[in-house]
Amino acid sequence: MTKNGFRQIHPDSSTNASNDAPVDASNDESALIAAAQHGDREAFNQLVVHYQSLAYNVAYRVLGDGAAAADATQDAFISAYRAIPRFRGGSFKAWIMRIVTNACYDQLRVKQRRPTTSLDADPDLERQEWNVDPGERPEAYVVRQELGAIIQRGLATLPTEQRACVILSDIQGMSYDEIAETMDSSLGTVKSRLNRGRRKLRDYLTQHGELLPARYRLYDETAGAGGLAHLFALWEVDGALIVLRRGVDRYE
Amino acid sequence: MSRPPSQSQTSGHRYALKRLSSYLDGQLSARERARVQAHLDACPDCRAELRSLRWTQGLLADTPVLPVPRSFIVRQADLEAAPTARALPRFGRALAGLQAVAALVAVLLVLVIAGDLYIGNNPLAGRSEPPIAMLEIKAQEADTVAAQAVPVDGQEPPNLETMQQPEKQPEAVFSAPTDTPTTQPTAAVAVGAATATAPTAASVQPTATPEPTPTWTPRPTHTSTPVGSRAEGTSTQNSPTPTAPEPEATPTPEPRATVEPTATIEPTATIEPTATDTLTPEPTATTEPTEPPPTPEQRKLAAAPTDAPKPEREESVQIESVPEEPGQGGAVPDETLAPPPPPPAPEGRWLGWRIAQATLGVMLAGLVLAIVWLRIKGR
Repeated sequence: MTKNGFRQIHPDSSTNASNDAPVDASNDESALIAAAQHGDREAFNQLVVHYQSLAYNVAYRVLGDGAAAADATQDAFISAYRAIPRFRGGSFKAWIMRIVTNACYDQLRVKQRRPTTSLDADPDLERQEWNVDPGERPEAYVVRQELGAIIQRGLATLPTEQRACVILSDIQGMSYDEIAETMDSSLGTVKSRLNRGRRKLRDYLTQHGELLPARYRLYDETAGAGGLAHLFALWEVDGALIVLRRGVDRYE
Repeated sequence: MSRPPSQSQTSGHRYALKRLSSYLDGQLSARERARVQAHLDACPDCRAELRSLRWTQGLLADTPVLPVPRSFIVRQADLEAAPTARALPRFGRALAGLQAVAALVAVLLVLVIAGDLYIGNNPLAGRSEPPIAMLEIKAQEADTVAAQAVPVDGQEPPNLETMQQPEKQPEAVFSAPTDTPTTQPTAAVAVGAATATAPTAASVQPTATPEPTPTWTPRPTHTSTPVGSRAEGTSTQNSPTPTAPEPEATPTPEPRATVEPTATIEPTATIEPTATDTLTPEPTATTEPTEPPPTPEQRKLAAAPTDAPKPEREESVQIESVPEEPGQGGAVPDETLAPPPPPPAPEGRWLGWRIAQATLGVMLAGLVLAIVWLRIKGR
């Protein structure tokens, strides 16, 4: 379970081969930022390549719509390029994500005006879009697809700020400080939004537990101790506990 | 597992519930953490809650990552082609300019009307027809003007759009309220808002009106209420109210045309005919029926501005309430607001609203020109 930033960068996500090199060290990042602040678009685009997966995934989870998420992401990076001379240090990640979330809010407003699409993810779309982890077995892949679709529906039930908080924290693994900076709010606000958002999402997921893949269910009425172990597995190192999960599945 | 917590536990229970999420993330202070921990040991419900939150967190962490559908690299073309994000602000600036123009024109309009009234060379002044209704065209202005202005004769049908204004010119003396009463009691017509849709404010008769009181007091009440509310409704928060030429009493704000979307241009200058005996009964009928009563939100908005101008008279307070109650006086209901001002709406409506205001400004400008031209021609 990776908690640091986004978990995967797709090698083919960039069309520009020269931009593929990930930005590893913060030194590199600050150098790129400094260059971008002086109008170096190439430097800025290296930052884009580094952050676009995070940005797009957050936008997708907030908006529940691939096209709108792509628009929001693109708008955000263009805005960021224009605004970067005014970047005054601090967490660049939070700064960029703030622009992204604001772009998402703009998209949501557009959507409210023309409420033709729902926040619910289109299951078919999701199925096509889910990333295939090369190391992931096909069944596991399918299961995760289902999970993603249900999570998306649950997220759609949350108020926007709570949704954004939950996404930044629990899907993207950002720290409280980064989230507070991203959302321009206090730590206390972040905590309370997270608390309410998680509980609300929990309510949704438990109410729709039957839609969840078996291995993700909270506790099956039938599972007993197995369910608890399963929970434990989810919470702890999942690699070591896959076996346990399998056992639970079989038990169920 | 669900045992109701004992009384002694309830406060601790609530305390813990609020913090379980942060507890999960290790974001509590040592003290908070200890207290939550102690409660968890004693409360199976909270343990279950914690477990379910942890479970939720686990699911979220397992949410698959979506591949980026395309590269979001910023190209030169992206910067050159003005994306909507950039285009809008520019457009907004132009709109703001038009809005400012509208506000300015509204002020000019009031000045022109006031000038006419003051000078008193109204061809029409003599003929006072049954003042059908008071036409308050401009809501805001009405407040200011009304207080001092004496209602002269105004009888036009409220449709300002028709531009019948030449007839309207009422001679109201702004400055000296005392004098005014003597003058013909007919309602003064305010020309102000001629814009087609929204601007015209139907005259609303305050409750007070029905009783024809020879005395002054009634007037202030009438004027202020109707106007303010409508004007407000249309415009967003800051309604620039064009002030009449130095009315003593009027606290009216100067018209500020703000660039902000909020900036409203109130087209309507209402000059309310003060209540003269004759007038009072009718006014209600006059206003145009077409317009729907303002939505509650609008009223709220409107209400705020109305208050400010009024301070002079006691009665004003009552007046404010009037607009809200459609039933009163009959007149009230027909307030003409152009398109019912959308309640604070998302940006889309915003834009539409601002465009409407800008359009209104243009129409106002035309109206002023028409009035001036008619005056000149009339002489």
